[in-house]
Amino acid sequence: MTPFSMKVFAATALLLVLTGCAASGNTPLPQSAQVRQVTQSAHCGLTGPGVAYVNSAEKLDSFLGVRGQNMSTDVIRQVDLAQEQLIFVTLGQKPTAGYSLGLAEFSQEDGTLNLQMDLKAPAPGMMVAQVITSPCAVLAVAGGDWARVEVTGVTDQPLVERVKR
Amino acid sequence: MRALIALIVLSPWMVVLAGCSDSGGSDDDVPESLFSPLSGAIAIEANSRIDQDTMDQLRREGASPATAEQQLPASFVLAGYVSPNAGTYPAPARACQPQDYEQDPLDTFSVPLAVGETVVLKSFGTCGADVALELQVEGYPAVRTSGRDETAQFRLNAGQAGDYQVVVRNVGNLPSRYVLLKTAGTAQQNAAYEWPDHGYVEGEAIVTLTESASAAAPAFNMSAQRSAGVRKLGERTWLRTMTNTARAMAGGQMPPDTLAWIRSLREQPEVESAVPNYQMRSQSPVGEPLYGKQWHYGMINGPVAWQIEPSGGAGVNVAVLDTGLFRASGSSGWHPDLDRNVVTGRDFVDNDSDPRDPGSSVGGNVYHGTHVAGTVASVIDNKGSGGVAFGTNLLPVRVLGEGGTGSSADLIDAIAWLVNGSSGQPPRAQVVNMSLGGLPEIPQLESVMAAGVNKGMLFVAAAGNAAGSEKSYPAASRNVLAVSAVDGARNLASYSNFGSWIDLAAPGGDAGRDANTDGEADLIWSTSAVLKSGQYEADYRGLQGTSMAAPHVSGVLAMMKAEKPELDYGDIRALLESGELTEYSGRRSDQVGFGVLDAAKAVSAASQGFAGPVLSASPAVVSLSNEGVEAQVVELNVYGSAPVTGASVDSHPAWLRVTEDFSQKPFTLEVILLPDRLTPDVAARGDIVVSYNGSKQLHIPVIGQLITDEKARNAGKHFVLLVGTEPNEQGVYLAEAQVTATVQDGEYSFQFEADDGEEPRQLSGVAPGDYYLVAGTDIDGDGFICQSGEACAEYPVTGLREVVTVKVRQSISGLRMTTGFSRPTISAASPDILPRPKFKGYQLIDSRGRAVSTNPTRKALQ
Repeated sequence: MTPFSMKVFAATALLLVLTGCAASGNTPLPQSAQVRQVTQSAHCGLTGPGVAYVNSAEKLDSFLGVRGQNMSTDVIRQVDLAQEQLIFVTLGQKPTAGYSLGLAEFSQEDGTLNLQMDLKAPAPGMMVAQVITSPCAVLAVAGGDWARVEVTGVTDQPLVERVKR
Repeated sequence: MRALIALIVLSPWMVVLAGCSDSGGSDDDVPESLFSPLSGAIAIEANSRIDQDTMDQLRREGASPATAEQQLPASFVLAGYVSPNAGTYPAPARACQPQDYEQDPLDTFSVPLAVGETVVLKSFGTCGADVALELQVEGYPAVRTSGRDETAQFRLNAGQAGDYQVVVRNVGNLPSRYVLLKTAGTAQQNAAYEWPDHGYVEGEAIVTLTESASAAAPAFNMSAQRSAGVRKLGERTWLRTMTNTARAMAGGQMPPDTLAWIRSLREQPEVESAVPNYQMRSQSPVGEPLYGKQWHYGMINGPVAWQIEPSGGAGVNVAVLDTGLFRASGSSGWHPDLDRNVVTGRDFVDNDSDPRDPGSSVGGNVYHGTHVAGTVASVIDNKGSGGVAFGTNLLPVRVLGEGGTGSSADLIDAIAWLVNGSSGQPPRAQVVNMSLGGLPEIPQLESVMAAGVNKGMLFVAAAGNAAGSEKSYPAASRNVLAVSAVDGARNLASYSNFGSWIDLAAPGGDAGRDANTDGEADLIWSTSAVLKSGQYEADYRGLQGTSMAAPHVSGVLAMMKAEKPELDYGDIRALLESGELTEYSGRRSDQVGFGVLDAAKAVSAASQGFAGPVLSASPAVVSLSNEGVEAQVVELNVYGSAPVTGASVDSHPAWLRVTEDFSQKPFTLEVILLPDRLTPDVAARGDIVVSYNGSKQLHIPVIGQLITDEKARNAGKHFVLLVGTEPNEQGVYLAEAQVTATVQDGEYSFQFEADDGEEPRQLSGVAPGDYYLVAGTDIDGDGFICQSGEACAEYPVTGLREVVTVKVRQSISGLRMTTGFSRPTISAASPDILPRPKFKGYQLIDSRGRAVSTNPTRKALQ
């Protein structure tokens, strides 16, 4: 075994053991993904709507280092990226308080992880704080055999992200 | 040869251009083994001291942490090392080397302290990690370092002057470098201890041509004017754009290309100077630490208003109808920067008398109401920020609940409570701030506000962030001042509402712009709370929105009410429409109404009998020493239309000579230090008092120092390095040759040896090549010098290193540089300093084997 493949194996070993499919890397893993919401915030500092897959501490640092964000970074950092990976779903910049994103449902089909988000927005005529916000939800996903994330409920068209896992 | 050395020392450029020419003839006769190819001396910055048990000491065999108190002088900048344990540094190559470190949990000092003096501790952590330290002064509770700069300070507010025991304790898990300082307003107090990392416009430079080049090359100028890549700024000065470089790289880390390009511009003979396109941040005289970020206060002319209304709105109640105020879990008080000003409020969401902001049930929270309240009235306490009306009473009223939303019924209830009945009862607040909106016009709301206006109340509301002209209530109400938001360049913020119903504008920030080019996004900074270790703690943050603009207006109205309590809404409207509250163009606009708020004009207009002018000094505080600035010209600016009469200098300290020139504007004072009248090494303080227009006085604080500690200075054991002129792939500059120097009579001397070409090579052996000459301490023993908290010297001037070329059988001697713990800052006085994004120090030669040379010149010569 070359040093390189050793390294790859070491990084994924835990996951493989947990999912019980360690025996062979050649057969597909018909395993369904588990998704949970880690946190949400009205001030994530990310100004465009989108979805981002985070599977390294380095990438996570770039998200948590965004100026103006006020997320519960502790609970996000507690996620063991070897076992669960993070998905940031951002609503983009909003003109007032009163917006929030949360996970409603998830499913996995044909290699796609479907995330249905619950978007709350102030009703017309509601009294709201006049501060610019940038809401987002941070999700953790474990396992599954998918290479594409499709997020509905955030924008008119689903947000799609191809993911290299 | 002596003449040549003098030339080298006086003119660092000559080292590169001429110092290493073949003219060093006589040295050719010296036997190679006897001469040093490079030697010199390193002076030490005033007041520098070193901890007695840094890693340099602890690494010696049999060494243990010092137990005795270390005596410190009245003024000092001491660098030290503390570690809770022994271990080995982790080895991310850019930040530290995997060397061992020793335990040294605390350092103890004896410090002379007088009432009013402050001791400051700055923790720099190690290997790129922050480490919390504690500063404990005998008889007082320990103060922990905090904030982005990991700083703690102790001020002796009362008690006996004398020697106090001061302990620096490591309460983290890793070793830490630190600087402990007590200085008296000399340059060291405002000095930076980290390398500059200012933002600048990528791909742009401000270039000044030499006079001859400018005159000789009109063709260049002509073509330049037509070219999109060049813009004329002055007679010989141009804004040049780097070709093929995308300009629009807002925020984030800048690649260093621009800096390399600017260095190459500086080498062109026709270029007199080239600097990045950034503007210096003003050195604000206003005392609160965050003031430097609060561009919005300068924009509304706050400093002048505070001179006219020095109580900051005392005696006035401002109700903040919002999400309530932050109170730390288990704390008995509000946000510490608000607490002193807060009076009893009410919660209309939960219908009780506790208007605390409970935060969000899920996820993060920015404590909107706390932020708004801070802009109105955070207290002046040398911590955090100060509000526009820093002396006014804050009356928190909670009308916004979960997620910053609320009901109009709660708002109507709240205003009715503030109006306090229809009969003779006075209202509970004179000014009401509503950083909320989105409501339609509601008759009940209109009538309750009309009742308030009848009682002399003033209502202010955020115009809303819909970037549209649709009316948003309560702002659009005829009884409310509707405030739109502008960015740092007084342009309507991209999100702000506009329209015929806008009354005036105030700064609300715009995160997408840096319109005032201070290198930071135009956010409004105020009190807030952040999540640390699972709990919210009082802190500060920048936000944007018309929510942030409205409280600037409310604060100014509070100051106006303090000046003239009977001012009512009709008076305010009259003043507004006659341009007395704003910088007014004479024509109302839908973007900014009657203009952008001007606190000074507004408060002057309100001030009864305000006929006279106000004098304001620039700089506001004068700091002089025999080793720094010995003479300073102070400008006195006049605010107000009335003439200044009978201005004269009433008094000044005996250790100053003050020459006034009041014959023309701006008035000036030339202030010269008379050091021989000062007690050595004791900072003297006093005021220059200028009186004018009869009884008016302007006090200009002055600090003077005679520094005589040259022989006692010690910045610790120094490594003197010749490093390659290009960093390696990790951005690290590696040492090619290395000698050590210990202090002798307040100075270091160093001498390299010629490389004899034999293996193993000596650390001190220098081969011919191009190098930077640098020196510094490695007090945490992590294999890097010149990190924050460590001494650093660069030849010829720290921050402006130049290439030194070592040639075969030539000697350069008498090189001089200065070491110290402070770092150069980019200022009007030192525009040639460039930012050093990501610079972490110089890597020492690993004793286990010499690092591979990265110096191409050297390889070629070898």
